[in-house]
Amino acid sequence: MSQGKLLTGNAAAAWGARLADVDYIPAFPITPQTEIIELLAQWAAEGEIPARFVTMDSEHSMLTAAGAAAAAGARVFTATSSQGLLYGFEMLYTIAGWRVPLVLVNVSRALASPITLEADHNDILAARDSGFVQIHSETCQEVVDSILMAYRLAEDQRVMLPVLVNLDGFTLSFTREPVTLPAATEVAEFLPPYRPNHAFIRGDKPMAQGAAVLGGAVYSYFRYQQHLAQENVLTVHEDIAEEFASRFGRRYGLIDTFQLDDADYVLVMSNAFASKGKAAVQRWRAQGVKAGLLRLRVLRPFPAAAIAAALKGRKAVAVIDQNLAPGSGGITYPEIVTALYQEKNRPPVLSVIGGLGGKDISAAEFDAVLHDLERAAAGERIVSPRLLYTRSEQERTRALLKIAGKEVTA
Amino acid sequence: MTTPTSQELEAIKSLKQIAREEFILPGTAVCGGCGGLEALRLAAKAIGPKTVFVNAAGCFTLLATFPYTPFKGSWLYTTMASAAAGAQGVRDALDVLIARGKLPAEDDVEVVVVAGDGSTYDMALSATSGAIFRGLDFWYFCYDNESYGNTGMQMSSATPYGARTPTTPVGEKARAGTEHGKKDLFEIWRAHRPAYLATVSPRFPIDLTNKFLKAKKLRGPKLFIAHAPCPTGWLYDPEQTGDYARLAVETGIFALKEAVDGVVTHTYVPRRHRPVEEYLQGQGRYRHLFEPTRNETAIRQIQEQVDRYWVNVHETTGAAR
Amino acid sequence: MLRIRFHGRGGQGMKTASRILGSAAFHAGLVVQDSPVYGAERRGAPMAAFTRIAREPIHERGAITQPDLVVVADDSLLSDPAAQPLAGCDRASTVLVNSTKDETTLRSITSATTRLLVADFTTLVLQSTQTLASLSTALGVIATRLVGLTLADALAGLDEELAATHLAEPQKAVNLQLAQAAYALADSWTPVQERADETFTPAQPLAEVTFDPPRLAVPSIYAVGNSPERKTGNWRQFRPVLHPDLCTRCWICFVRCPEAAISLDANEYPIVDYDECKGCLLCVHECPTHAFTAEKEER
Repeated sequence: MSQGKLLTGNAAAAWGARLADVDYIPAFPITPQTEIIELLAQWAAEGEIPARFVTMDSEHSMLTAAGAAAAAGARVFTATSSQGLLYGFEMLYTIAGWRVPLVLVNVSRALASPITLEADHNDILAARDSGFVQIHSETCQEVVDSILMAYRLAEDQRVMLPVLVNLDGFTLSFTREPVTLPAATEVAEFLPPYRPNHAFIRGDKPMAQGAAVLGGAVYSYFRYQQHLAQENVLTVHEDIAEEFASRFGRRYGLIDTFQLDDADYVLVMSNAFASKGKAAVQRWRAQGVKAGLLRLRVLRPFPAAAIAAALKGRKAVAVIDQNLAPGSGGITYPEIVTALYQEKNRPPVLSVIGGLGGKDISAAEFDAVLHDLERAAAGERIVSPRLLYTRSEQERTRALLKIAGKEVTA
Repeated sequence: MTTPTSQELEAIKSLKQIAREEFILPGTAVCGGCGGLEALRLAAKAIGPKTVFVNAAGCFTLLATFPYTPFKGSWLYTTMASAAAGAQGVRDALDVLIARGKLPAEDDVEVVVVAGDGSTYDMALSATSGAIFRGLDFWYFCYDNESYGNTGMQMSSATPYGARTPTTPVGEKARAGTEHGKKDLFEIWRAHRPAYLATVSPRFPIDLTNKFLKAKKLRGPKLFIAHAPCPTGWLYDPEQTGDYARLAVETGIFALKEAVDGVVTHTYVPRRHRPVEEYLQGQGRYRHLFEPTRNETAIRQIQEQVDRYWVNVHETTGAAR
Repeated sequence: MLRIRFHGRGGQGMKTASRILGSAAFHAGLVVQDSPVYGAERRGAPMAAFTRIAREPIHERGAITQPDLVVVADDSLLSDPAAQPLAGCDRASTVLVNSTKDETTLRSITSATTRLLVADFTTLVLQSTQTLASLSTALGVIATRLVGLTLADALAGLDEELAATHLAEPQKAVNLQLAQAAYALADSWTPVQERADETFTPAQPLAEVTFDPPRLAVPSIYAVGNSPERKTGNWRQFRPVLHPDLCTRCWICFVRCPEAAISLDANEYPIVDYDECKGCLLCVHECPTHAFTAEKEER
């Protein structure tokens, strides 16, 4: 049966690949993802997993090898982060276009420049239009469970798309917490072997894959099919989540809700920092404020209907984007507003930017968001987006600017 | 007709031992008179029917344009920079699927990268280096038409000194056109000590066939640089593809050679090389070296570079002149 | 507005012809838009180029679906399914075909209601320049006349295009002479008129695209070796013709053919697959006994 373990998010990801009984793992190191491939390399070296592990020469090559192996009919796992995801970016669209069902774990890390190490979601969200399904996880348990569900989803004939499973660098990747690992035999029943009938490379059945398509009409057909397959995820995911829950006792939705039923004020967050949002909600509840949280989990396809149903009729909603599209603002904010647009009783929706480069979001900053929510509910117009950034953080930054020899004025 | 197929042979001595069966069929979108396709077609005959061609962006992307494929085997189009990594993924997948009993061993295929010089010499150098370094058991067929052919023959690092291209035009300040010399990919690859490495020319089909047959017995990276005269880009009539392929070898500009585990052998050494002019003249890309006035300096420079190469060959190998 | 569509094969210069027309009209003070469109195919494969000429700003882009004038670089294109030069032509359209055939023969291919003009530009071009490279000059200039522009405009347009080439001065001069001859060829033809009404083909109903399983929904090909269905034989300007009495069955043509368009029969004589042969003529050139000759394609 199941067994509890203290695992980091990275180890949980490696266990996900191991339990999924993958055939092939092309790899390339990058902080904070490296621990995943180190663990898999160790298991491969010891013969504990049958998968072939190969260190490639770049993430672009790694993703090419991953996609090509999946196109040849293998079950493939690979992982990257941040700059690595962007370096291999061309391949994301290519693999999705091949419609091959690999799972790619991204360990979120803010993007250069300036180069940094801790998490925000500009990396994974840059890939939002690539055709990959995206699942964002909050806990180490969810990482391993999401990977297993991801393979079922990816290999489903109604979907047949690659899946990105996201976890945050440091706050999840290097964070240990209790994880219940399902037994391999039970996983094998949940996730039967991949038997490709549309993409394979074998001597007895030649086929051409990734052929050039000339002419917009044919291109439109193939491209739009990716969208239709993505849309199918919205229902297929629910089937799989149901089966997963019945087998393993943990239920995952397209979105995750926390104390949302009667909530007046709602935070929308994703990934590991959603835990901090939940803490704020609990604190506010203790103070008598009816607050709740919606965590974005499946981000592609975008579960607009589920989000609209969860947010309509609230007094006010704040979308905390741990990312920034310069010149536009938070990346998920407009998507959520769009989801609500058709609703008659749509709430005011605030845009908040917080946690860039892994910056903490303090209780005081959450309280500031709540204050804004209350003002918005009272009909006040709130400047949007609002950057979560404390006075003391500003002072500290200015001190560093000074040390760097810059002319800092008061 | 009972001619043995060339794949069954150790080495062939006559054209009539080349396989009559075709593995790349007509009807492709590439230009008439393509030297690269001529070489690839012959290579495919030697490699045999069970193949997957892993393609990098380039002219040969057009070989399989939906819904048509000329191949009797398989095809996978990857990207410009990473065909060798694609070959790695396919080879590894086939190996592990066979090892795990998921694919019958008889359904294994030969994995053949097909890439132009723009990809091979430039953007894909790193991915290919990685695959060779890892000792990947694969073929690499570089059709070298000495430019970014598919985008309109712009300079690549395989473009020879003195050739005019749309991005190395001839002008007051650039009389030679391309000022850089062609990158020595053979030596770059040889430094990796691949199992097999060779240059081939479509105009020397027996030499070409035998190199592929020889490589077939080896495991590991089997790398080929195919001279690919290009009527569209080099600006000559398509029927002359064979002439320029032959002249490139006979002037010594394109050396036919191989390297087994890094040891180089020249497989064809003409008794006397013809002057490079015979190769240059007539190709539109070199016309500015001859008209309206002869650019003696540039022509001499090309000749001297070829001479130096062969002097070095004769000194280091003692090959007969 | 006048909409002019040029059809040719890669290498026949129809992009240049459309630009000569565009430059000429621009020189005449008109509003102009010109653009080529290529498939993936190369030299020898069908291509098209578009020129729009108007007095007001042009709010159109891309392909011309209902042309006022169609210029066809050779008559083999008329029945080429990959070219379809007659697509969208109606009673208001004029089709100009470069051909040695007579109008009656070509009329059987074109629509009965479309105005058809036929002339042998190939001979004209070869006589004056000894190379077919200047077909673009002849067809660009005649199109200029057919849209009602003057010889001065045509020469100005040509001059603009020639300036971009690497042609030597004497060759430029030859082209200017050719342009005058081509212009004169249309003395008896009335110019193309702007359409009285701008009604276009009725709108198509939109299709509903629904989910297809992965075997359908991916740009992969399960057919094996089906490229011969493209029939690239229509790229050919000249065909290689074997004279078996001269053939020594040496296999050279079979080995050299880049396209695998030559096979060997039971007696090792070459067989050219004319459905596929692109007409590169390597076989003609390489045959040591001159057993192949090149013959002008007459379709």
